[in-house]
Amino acid sequence: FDEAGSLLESNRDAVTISIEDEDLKSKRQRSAAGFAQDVGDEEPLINEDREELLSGQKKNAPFWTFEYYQKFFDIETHHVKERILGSLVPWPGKNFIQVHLRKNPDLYGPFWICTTLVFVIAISGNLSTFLRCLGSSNYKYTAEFGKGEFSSTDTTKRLCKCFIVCINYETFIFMQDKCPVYLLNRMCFPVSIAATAIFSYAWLVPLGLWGLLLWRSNKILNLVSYSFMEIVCVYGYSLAVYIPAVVLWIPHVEWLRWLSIVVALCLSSSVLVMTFWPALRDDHPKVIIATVVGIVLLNGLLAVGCKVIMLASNVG
Amino acid sequence: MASAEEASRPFAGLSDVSISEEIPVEGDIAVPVGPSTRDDEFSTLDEPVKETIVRDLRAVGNKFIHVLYPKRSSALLRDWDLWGPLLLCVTLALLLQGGAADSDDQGGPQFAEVFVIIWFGSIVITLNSKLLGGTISFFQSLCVLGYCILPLTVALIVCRIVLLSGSGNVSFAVRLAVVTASFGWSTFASTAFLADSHLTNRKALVVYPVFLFYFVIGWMILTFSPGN
Repeated sequence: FDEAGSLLESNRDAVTISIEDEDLKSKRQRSAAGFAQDVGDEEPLINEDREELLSGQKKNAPFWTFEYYQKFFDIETHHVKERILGSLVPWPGKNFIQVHLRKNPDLYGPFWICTTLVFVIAISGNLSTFLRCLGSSNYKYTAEFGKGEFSSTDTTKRLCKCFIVCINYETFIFMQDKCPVYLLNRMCFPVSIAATAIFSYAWLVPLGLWGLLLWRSNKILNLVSYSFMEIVCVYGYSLAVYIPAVVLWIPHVEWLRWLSIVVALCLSSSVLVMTFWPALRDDHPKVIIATVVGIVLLNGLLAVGCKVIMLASNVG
Repeated sequence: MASAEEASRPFAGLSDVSISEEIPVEGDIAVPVGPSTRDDEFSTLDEPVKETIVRDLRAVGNKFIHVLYPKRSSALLRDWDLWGPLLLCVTLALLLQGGAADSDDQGGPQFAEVFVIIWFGSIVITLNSKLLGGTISFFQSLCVLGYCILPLTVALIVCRIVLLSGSGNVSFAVRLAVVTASFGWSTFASTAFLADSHLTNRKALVVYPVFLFYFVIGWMILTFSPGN
């Protein structure tokens, strides 16, 4: 009887598996049809049921598996190009998330834009020092190794505003042509600081904003809600405008530096504000003002931080 | 009834069997052996050590040649090994270490920094390639990226030799040309192996991180200057 019972059980399992297979197949067909229709849809917010079905299908893999992250890399080259252009040139009325992301946020763009920005800051710092000492070949630096005492006065005054820790690690080597050439360890330190600052900005600020939007959506009925990955995506792409700005900081031309930092700040802040405006529009005016000011302020802090890091890798 | 029950339960009757000591139990436990397997031919236990090492060295050298003349060949991908990347990474890190002799830890890049940058960079690029749907396995990709550092290592050796003769503008121009050429060579060689495993509309997405990786290493080589 035990054998018969076990045989029956295995048969029962076989029956249930085939039913589940059919169920999955029909769901897949429905989602394919839904997705095809969604692409042509200009107003994705209307058919929320279909999107819920789609997003439900997407969230099948738990977040500790490889497949979960693979769905955030489901983009092609022209998508990335369009998204970067969309973040560089904010069009009034065009919401970045609705126009460019279209419910397909990716992690490729934010990650590689942040990495590129980190290395561009370090390399630009090196280059700007090199250009500076090319122009003034008689300028001698003296330094004490490890202690961080410098005899050049106005540079220390400027740098006292920067991280004191960076100054303590600065060392110089004299070359025969009297031009201190940077060694790599000068690059490793700005790289690590820049990487910490930029990646924490790209993850913690979206986390805070998402939490804020979630909190407000409990109090006020919002038609527009953004997922965490979409906010991370917007913030990542909004950093793309800083890459040319940092490259423009290489020559020691003050007005160019100020112009580039102001333009970069304006462009990225406007992209962010225009993206989050629909989510905040119906809220209390004080909350709107506070959030917008917070977004712009944190963006400005990042811009200043980038400049400080570049200065810290550029004593002189 | 009892016999039917016994028949339905195999080995049921043996539950209380014990073998007395007088009965000798003997027999042959012989597993029929088929034709000699491939492992027997490649058993490396009996060959001299020199032969084992030379075989691995020959494989590594073969892959170096494939990198120097990159054409679409699957030798690098098929038998991947990480000896070559390790050798190149250690050479690069040792040569980039330099700087003034009297500064203890502030002189040049430490060995560990270069090592970590190269391996961590390779792992991140491999993960990126796999997330974008690449068909190459993890270690194959690491192998390709590591082997394609060879032109940059050669450039570093050339730069050090050029720096021995002075560090003026001419030497800088020569170093710039050498590093740029080797960086282009490395990128071209690695994309020849890596890009084929992806869809055409994602090739640029896979190639860009490789470009950035070799650009950073090339920058490290270009800005290297030994201390006094």
